[in-house]
Amino acid sequence: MTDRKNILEVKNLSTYFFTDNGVVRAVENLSFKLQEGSTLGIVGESGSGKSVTALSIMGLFKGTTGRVVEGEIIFEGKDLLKLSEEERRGIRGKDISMIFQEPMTSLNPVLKIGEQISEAIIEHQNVGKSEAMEQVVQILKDTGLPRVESIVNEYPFQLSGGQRQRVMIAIALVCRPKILIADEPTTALDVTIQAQILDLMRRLKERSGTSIIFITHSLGVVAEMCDEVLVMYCSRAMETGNVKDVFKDPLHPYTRGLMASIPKLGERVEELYTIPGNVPNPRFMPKGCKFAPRCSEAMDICHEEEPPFFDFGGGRTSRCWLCSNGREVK
Amino acid sequence: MEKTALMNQAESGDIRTPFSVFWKKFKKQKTGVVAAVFFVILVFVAIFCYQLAPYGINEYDYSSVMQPPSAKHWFGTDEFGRDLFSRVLCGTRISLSVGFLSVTIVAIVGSFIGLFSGYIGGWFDTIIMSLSDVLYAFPGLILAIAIVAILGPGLTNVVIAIIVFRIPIFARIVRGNTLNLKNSVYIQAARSLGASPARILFVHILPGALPSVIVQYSISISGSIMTSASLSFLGMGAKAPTPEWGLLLSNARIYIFTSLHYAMFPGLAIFLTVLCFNLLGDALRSALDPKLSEM
Repeated sequence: MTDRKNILEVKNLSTYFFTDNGVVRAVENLSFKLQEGSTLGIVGESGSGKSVTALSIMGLFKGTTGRVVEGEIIFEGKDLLKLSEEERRGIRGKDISMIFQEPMTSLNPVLKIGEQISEAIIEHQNVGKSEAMEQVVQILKDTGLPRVESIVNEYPFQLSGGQRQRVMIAIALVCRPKILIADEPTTALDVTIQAQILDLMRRLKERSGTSIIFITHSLGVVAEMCDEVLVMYCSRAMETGNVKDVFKDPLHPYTRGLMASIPKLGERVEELYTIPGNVPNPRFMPKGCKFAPRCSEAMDICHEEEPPFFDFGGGRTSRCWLCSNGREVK
Repeated sequence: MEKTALMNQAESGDIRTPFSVFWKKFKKQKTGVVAAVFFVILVFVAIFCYQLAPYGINEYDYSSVMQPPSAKHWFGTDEFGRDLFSRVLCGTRISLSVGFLSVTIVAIVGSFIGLFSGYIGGWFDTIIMSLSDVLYAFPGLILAIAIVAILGPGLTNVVIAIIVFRIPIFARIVRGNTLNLKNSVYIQAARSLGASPARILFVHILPGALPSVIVQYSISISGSIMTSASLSFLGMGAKAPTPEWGLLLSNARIYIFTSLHYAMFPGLAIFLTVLCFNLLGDALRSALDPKLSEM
């Protein structure tokens, strides 16, 4: 596992939004690696910077005040942040593509399904319209949609949420990208459809060998889908590691809190566990560890100084003073 | 209400394209349907006016000047004995041509300006919108008079004047829609596929702005017919003996107390045409308004 090649490496990424009311630090000094053919899960609460991480990799900040202020995003030996907009456009949809959270709004309501899927093909491959349409029909069949031939001529409002998400997956995968970023692809769907979509993504991944970055706030989905996991809190990575290790022995109190708040089947409890307190306001960040005010195990140092990453080998790291027995990463 | 529409559709097995949805909604509006029928008649008359007219538009008959309406002359005759019915009929072509020509050009030019202004944003947007605010601040007709005064009278210059003072209206509408659409998720999704800016503009954003443009198009036609008639009435548009409605009204002005029919019929023609386009615009707005649709 460890000798697999890294297809994507994010180093010290910081992305800020420069709003009229000040700077919002959406992603702060984030580093991670994505191995070829593996699935990395990014978990965290709403507003922890998961989606902004995805947008930073895609370079989709046009029309917003967001900007990557620091760091490197290395894909196949090239730093994406140093490429021109035109070069990045050539990568988007072809090598790296993305599935968005909201299947209801991610499709253009006035374009036919077939037209929207062939968009990426026509943009990135030198093929004619009829050949593109053949590919469209093939990929739609792969996603398990019924009556594919008529769906290509239908409009998004004629499809259900699950069907639209399948179309989104088809759009993202039609050019056989090397990396697929799935930004909460199942959040807006009901549970049975969720399971079907996850199953579909796993099948397609096995077939194409695409590496996936799976953004979610559900640890259950992570356990089911991912090889590696990155836990984010307040724009930072809190813990990383192999999914099995992290679930068996979470190092960071925040990860432990997240695990404890998952209801367990067959166990009757009076009240579900919740992590006390709220996510701090980005404008009044605590001085030390960002999780310290909510942490039951916080020590004096936690309120004073932000912990660095402590490395335990094999990709396991934790940003917590309790883990100071590990090797410190600068 | 939508539920039943959906159920009907499920039973009849119709395929619901955006057009069929639009048509269903449009049909419900009786005034809109009447206006649409009148609109078709207007276009027919405009095309075949010379074939339909019983007399030539410049057929002088000094033996029957200022005749009231009769079986021979339905709308009566004017001060030179010309058949008013034929002249009003042929005026349709002039008014509709001026209306359609000017508004088509202004819709295209204005939409492009709005599209680019909204999409590019920044200082470009600020400059374009400031300019359009300046134009917008002038009362339309006064600005049109000023432009015609500079360019000289004539129908061509009337068309130019209408184009100039209506550009800001279209530019603003399309800019607003563009601003709204350019940050929508599906535009971002298109961008994530590597779609080029040109493709995003013309394939993704423009069709989304089109419904508002269509509504404004219809309403603007009535406005520009009014403007061209007003300018002709003031002697700045069509020249005699063109049977332009505004010009006919202007000629009839001095006879209004003796021969009411002379002023009445051209006035009625302007009134009905403007009303038709306004009602049509209202009906289109109701049928195309995304807020009223089920999506």
